[in-house]
Amino acid sequence: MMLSVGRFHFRAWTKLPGMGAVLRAMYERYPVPPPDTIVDFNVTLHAAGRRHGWYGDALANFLIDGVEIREPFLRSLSWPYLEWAANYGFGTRSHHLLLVHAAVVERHDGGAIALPGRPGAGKSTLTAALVARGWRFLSDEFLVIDPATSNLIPFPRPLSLKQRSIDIVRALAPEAPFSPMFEGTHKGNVAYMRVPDASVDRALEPARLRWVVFPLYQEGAGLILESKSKARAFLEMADNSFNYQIRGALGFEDLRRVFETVSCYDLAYDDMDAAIAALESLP
Amino acid sequence: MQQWRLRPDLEIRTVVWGDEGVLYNCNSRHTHVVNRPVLAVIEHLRAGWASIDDILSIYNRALADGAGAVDNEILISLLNELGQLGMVETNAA
Repeated sequence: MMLSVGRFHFRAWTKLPGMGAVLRAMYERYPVPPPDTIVDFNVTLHAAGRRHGWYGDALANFLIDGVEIREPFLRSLSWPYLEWAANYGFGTRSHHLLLVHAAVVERHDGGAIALPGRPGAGKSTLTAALVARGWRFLSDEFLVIDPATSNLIPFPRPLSLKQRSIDIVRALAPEAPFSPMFEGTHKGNVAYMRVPDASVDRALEPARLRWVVFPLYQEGAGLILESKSKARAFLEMADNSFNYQIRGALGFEDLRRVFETVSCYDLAYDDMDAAIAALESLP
Repeated sequence: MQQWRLRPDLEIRTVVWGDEGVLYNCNSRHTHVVNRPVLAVIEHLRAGWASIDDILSIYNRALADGAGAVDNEILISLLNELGQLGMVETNAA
């Protein structure tokens, strides 16, 4: 089937059982493009035999545009790998745009916040908490900069949550639909939170970046929100980019233009409500 | 007399915010955070060969409030570092 996520289109093809239910639960709201649409990439998920012979665990693998890029994985983990395949396909086939590894949400007043963060920094948990408070969700993986306009392009796909953050977000957003829990992926246990309909419906609407905030969840930190040097934030964003190096001087110019109007901060926190209040009051 | 200049084949992009800036070396594709005096020196060396006294004067004049003034030894070390990054060359053997 084909799916449109904002202005991007991809085709997912599989005969593996059980995928349809999760796909419907997570992507029901997304438009299906006309059959003659040119897709950005194709993901094929297929059975890949069994581990240790006939009685072993069933395996699966995916192809991006017909090319296998990794070792097979447990078939029971097909959904998370389909999501990762979509990330891989998008990240490797969108070099006409600047892609930075960051979550992006938009405040009620229309300014967008980028939340870059190392794994474990609490980026996805904070993002899900903000979305649960009604902020518009643009992405939990990709800050997408359109070089032609310096606008941010939404790419809102289900929020990937890991380990402890699953319970934290379930408590913060008890109404939000979740995928089943997938245990034992290479990132631990993961579950996906469905994107709110309002964010899916506005997926073609660009946003303007106003703040770059580097979050860090740290027990005992209290709340520390400190202004950060724009030059150092720029360097960290470049380091966190999927294709800044590939775009070369164009990548530098893409980021420079966006940075002209942003303010940058470091945020250390141990209380979600306090962190949200701090972000809601950023000048 | 030893002099320094920006490598003629070097292409760079820069942006300054406050006392710091970002320099992108199009040749190496490396991005660097640099302070305003270093950017001033690089701009000066783009125009051609300069002596250590010229460079020192440019550097110290670009300091916001005179704090952090450097001497020849520190400046030569900085120029050597820029040389290792493929940005600056000297006429000394």
